[in-house]
Amino acid sequence: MTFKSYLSLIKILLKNQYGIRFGKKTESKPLYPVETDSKKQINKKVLGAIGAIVLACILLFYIISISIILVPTFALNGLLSSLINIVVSAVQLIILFFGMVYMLPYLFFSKDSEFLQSLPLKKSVVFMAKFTLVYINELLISVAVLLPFLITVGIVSALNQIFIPVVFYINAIIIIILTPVLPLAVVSVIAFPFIYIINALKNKPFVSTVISTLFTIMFFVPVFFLSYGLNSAFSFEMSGDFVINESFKEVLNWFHNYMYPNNLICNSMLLESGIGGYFLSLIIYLALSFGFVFISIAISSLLYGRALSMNIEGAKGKKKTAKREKEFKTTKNTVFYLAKYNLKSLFKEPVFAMNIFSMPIMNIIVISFFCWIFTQQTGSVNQTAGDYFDFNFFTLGMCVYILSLTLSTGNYLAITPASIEGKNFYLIKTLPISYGEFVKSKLILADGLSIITIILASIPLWCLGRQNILNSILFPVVLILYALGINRFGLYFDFKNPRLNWSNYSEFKKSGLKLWRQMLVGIAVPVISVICCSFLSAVKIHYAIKSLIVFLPFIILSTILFFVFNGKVKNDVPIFIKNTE
Amino acid sequence: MLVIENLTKKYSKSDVKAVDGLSLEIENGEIFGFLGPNGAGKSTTIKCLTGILPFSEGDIKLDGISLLKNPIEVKMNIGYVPDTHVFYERLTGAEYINFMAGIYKVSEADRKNRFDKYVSMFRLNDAINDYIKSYSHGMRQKISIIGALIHNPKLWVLDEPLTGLDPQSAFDLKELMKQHCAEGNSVFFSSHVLEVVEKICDRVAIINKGKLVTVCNINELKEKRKDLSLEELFLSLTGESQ
Repeated sequence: MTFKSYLSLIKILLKNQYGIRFGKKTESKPLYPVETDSKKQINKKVLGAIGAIVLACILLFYIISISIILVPTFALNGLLSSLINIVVSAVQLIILFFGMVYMLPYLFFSKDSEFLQSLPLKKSVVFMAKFTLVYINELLISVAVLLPFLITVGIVSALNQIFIPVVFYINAIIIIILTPVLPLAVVSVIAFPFIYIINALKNKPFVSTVISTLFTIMFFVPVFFLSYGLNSAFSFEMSGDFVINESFKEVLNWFHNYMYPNNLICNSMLLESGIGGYFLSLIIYLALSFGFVFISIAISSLLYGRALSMNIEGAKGKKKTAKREKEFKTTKNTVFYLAKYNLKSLFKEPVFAMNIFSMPIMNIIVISFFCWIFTQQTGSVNQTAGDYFDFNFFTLGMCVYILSLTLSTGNYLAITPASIEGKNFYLIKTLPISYGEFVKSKLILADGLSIITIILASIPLWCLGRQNILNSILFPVVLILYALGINRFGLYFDFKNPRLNWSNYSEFKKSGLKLWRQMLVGIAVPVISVICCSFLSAVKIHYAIKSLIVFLPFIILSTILFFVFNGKVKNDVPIFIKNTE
Repeated sequence: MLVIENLTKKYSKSDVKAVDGLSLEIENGEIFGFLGPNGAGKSTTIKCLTGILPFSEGDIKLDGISLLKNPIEVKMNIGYVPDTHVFYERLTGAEYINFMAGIYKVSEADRKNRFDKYVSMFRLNDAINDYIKSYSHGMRQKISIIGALIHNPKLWVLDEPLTGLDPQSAFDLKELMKQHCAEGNSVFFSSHVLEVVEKICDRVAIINKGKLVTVCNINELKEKRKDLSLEELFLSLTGESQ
């Protein structure tokens, strides 16, 4: 009976998460004919499916092409098991990150806790069903990356006459299934302090935003440095082959020896220790993996009860008196007043606040990273005599690309100023304020965030980017003009068709499909710019001409967008607001 | 028969008892109203009763079975309609009801009969196979009610059940409560709509600041104190003590 309840619950959780239905549809025979999906809904589903297939193909292409390049080189150097270990470890790191982001809230702070607690189900059954779902979600990551990678390793090795034993494929299945267990065990242990921290931060949205942003940055900074490290670990020979540097080989070997127990299963896959060694390694790996599973379940189940109480009892308890409003004066400037309170309310929504907070910070980090990497290449031994490549100009191009992309697609205040209000939008319509003032307050926020981001992102470029005076001035000025234009463009279309019926962040994000205009314009120009920049970096012409060619598309587009849409925003958007139902 | 004995609940971060020594008995076949001002402890009591919240002192027994000792057995005989609905929104209404029927181990024959009966009663025929995500508040309320009744529970617990229901559905729900009790079951519900409570309840309890203030029989109140409505009684008992 308990197992039946467990299976029932898993089915429902999977249905709710992925819409997966099991077996024949026997739930009900409708008393009346059910209307089939409308054409619009079918189109939406088809588009969604196409989008998913395209994304999957891109991911597959990336994994397979990288594998094809790396496998022969690593195998030649006797480092194939190390390569597999690195990839498995990288997947575990991804699972660890997503485990923290997904598992903790889902297992310990889920909104369905009260509902499930009221049902005649044992706590252990609910916990195991949810834990199973967490594992299934992490397993999907493992399958998505490791399956194509390991199959490619097998095929490419065979094509390059590198010996791959049959046990490789058996171990591949074992690795894919058991890769998630170590990170899940780590997450379970880390969860101990985290659930108390998360509970304490429930009513402190600003602090939780800062911590979430720092946590995200902490994840990306080592990824960047790892990419840089990997980049300097290889070099191209004249024959077109990859060569692994000696120092990197040492690092690889060290990593492989210490990355336990992954090294056991990776070595045994290639029978590096013979048949006896294979079985011994496999047994130890399996034993350790089941140990991790036991640790995960034991610790998580201990925490589950405690977290459940915290979650359900929630905000009940000691009431904190809210700070008294310091100002009771009437406001003279409605626009700034609206902007101020809009910003305050956004900061109380951690997910939106994180977007606002992280936009300038992430740009500083990414631009600093690119400045540092590319300017290191000046005078690099990679340049043979006669080759010319202006790395400083290329740096500028990359920075323009990154920042312009962020400005056009990452500024929620500009691309979703109406939709972000949600159902509060209708409240605004009841207030004694002019719609024009409301729109101005949105523009102030959008433009303000863009300008702050651009100025802060310019600092690393000025300090590290080795740019001339012209580029140092044009970079912030042109991008500010671009931001002003693109913000009005985005704001216009969002107010024209706002998506207001969302009740949580994931629903809000899903409605992003309707941002295709903003995305198209927002991506097209930066891409054109970076392509121009890449070509121009290899051309010896005066730097002023190069700069003009790169910045000109932005100047033209921003001028058009600003003059066309500034007027439209002033004249048409108030009418859109009035007519929004 | 539901017996609440000296129920006391204190939240972990609070010095104040949300429910303090509450004792009640609800007979079979009775519609029992549970009233109190905001923050009085009504929802806390209901959540303790339905097993959502643990409690520090006292016990709750349904037909002699203790919630503390046999929570699963007790929950099998309770149908709960909360004030806020948390649904798995990617399920259809039918899938949700079938899930509830499965959890409460309702036989297939009973499941089909009750499913058809309640879906028709609440006029959800056209929407029952749509995703819950697309439902209005009233429709979600109706689905929640059906989910709580599909196993024909001995005790039906409702927290503010009339909120969001159209007049016809509100009427149907009240009739359903009466019908449920006529079959020998009990209904325990909290509401702020005193006129409705006065009309359909057999007895009401009034709670304030976690303590039971009074339990009164509606018919006796009408006979003995014709000058006093339930609203006036409620306000006099809760208003003076605030």
